[in-house]
Amino acid sequence: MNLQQNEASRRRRLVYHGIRPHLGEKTARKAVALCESEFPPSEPFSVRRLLEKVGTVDPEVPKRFGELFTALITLQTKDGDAIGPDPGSPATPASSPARPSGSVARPAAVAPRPAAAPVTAVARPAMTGWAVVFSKLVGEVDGQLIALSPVNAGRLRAFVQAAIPKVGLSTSARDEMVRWCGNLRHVVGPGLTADEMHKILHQMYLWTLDAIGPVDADRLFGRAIRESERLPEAALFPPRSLL
Amino acid sequence: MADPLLKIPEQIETITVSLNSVWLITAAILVFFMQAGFALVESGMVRAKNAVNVIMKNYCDMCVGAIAFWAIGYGLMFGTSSGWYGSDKFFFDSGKPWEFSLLFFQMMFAATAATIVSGALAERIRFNAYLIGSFVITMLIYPVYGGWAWNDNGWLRQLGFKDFAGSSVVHSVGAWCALAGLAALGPRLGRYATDGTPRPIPGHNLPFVALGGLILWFGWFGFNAGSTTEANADIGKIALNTHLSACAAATGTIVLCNLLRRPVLLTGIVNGSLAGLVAITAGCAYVSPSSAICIGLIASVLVMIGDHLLNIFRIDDAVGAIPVHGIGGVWGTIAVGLFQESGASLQQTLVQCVGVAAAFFWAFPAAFLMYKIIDLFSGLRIETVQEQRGLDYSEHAEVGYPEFQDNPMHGSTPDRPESEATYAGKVTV
Repeated sequence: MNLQQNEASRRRRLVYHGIRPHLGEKTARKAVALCESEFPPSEPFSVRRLLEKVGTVDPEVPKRFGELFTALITLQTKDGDAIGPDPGSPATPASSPARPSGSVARPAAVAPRPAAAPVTAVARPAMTGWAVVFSKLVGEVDGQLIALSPVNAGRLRAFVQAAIPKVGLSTSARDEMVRWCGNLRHVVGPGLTADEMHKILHQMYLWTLDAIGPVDADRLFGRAIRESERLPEAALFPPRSLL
Repeated sequence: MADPLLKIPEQIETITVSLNSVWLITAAILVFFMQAGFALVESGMVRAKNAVNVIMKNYCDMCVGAIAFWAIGYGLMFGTSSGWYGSDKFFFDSGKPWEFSLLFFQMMFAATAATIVSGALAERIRFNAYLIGSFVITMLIYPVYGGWAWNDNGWLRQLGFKDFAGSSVVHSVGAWCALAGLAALGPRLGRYATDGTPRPIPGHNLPFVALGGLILWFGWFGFNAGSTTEANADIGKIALNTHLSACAAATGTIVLCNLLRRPVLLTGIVNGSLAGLVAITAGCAYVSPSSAICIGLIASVLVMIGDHLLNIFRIDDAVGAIPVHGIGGVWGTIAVGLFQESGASLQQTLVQCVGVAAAFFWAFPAAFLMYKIIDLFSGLRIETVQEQRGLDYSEHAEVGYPEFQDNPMHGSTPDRPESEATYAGKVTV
């Protein structure tokens, strides 16, 4: 990754993780897009000017300017990996093979993505209700762990990968989990039965227990559950039953 | 016509027995009430997802323990003995009225010994395995040692061993059984980091802990003063000593925390006062009030050292039962020889040490063997996934706080196919 790509990635993380907790996913994505179009990596970046631009597309921004400004300035003092994972450039979709591999945040401990990971070439099963809920749960747990420390992503995956042969997964589930372990941005879910999802989540729980202790692990999973219960699918496929 | 004056001694005897029975049964009821104290202290000190399980264990160990003690335990403890165990009075159905009172009182003691184990092993032991353990403790482990110390022919008693209300007989034996259970079970998931650093698992309800501690304290007046087994004038001093020792231990904990610049925790104060109560149990009838204060103060120091030692050895005692009942019991028993009103006696202290050692070397191996056998046949520890969900749900299919419990594992599974569900279908909340 060259310097410009690095800077672009850092700005995307900053804007995305600074705005998303306050204004949600949609506005955060818009802000990232604006950041990329208005502030090329070679040009100086200004938080104030960015927020003014975002204010033109979201009327909430001027009302909460101070709050957002503080959040972004606070994040600016952190390293790229400490801010959070790179949400990706809106101009280059995640699954696109043309995307420069270095533009995705990857904590140091994570194994490099397999060189030829033909995500688009694999015929993936459709996302069922369970898969949607599971994917959200895994994402929330993963996200919270990364927020605590970026190296957690790699360690969690290493633990899950080591546990895969022991928990009795089907071949397709095993392949799916191996892909997830090797790729931070892989959306996990299709190809697993609810029982297999439960087994994987339990392994994640066991690792979390060891990493952050039982009380924090319960809290972290509790938050992940609450977030997942906001999904429309959660009414029919309750996330709690996967644990 | 017979002279009515001739009947006076007989009437006095009848009144005395009646009064003694009233006092003994009242004391037994106070000791029974200690079960509520244990239930509150222990459930308050565990996570919300295990609160029901802990209370269930307290509730049920008393039930199975009572039957076991009536059937076998009482005979082993108070039957005709050669010094090692009693050989009659099993399935006690007929005897003098006084003996029924004594059996009832002693039954409560046996239940107390068993229930000490409950808190220490909380949050990881199978409910049924725990009950089997309680049954064996009250049927065999507790009564055999109790017979050595309290049966007229018991070998410890013949040596001159003094344990007035059971610092060793009840509390240490219960604690050593708990220690054996902990050795067989291991710590709760995540309790210790890989480098051995202990991670606190705070209790979910500290008001429960405080209330439970006060109830135990209240019941302890029956525990110690009732051990006179008769309504005599000694009960005043015994009750006073009991109270002073607990107060001194709680005060000692406060002073110690301040000296060590540590926060004065509610759990620390409650456990400190309980250690004072345990420690004075052996000598409450033999020491002066000022000695009772010394015993309590020293108990508060020892319980803090005991807590530290447990963490060093990675022994995960969920409620601090080993320092309170084990170490407090050992100290209280030895303290009889040091603080008795007739003066400190090396010989008495040595006899007390023999009694302390006998309690450990009988109760710990016996309980360890018992838990290993239970593990072999029915499994002792719950699965990790059950530990994740909490024992309330996985062992009892209900939760303590359904309206507001923030437990990620609690929920219904109405649409999940039965074949895919590992715990779905067990209950629909």
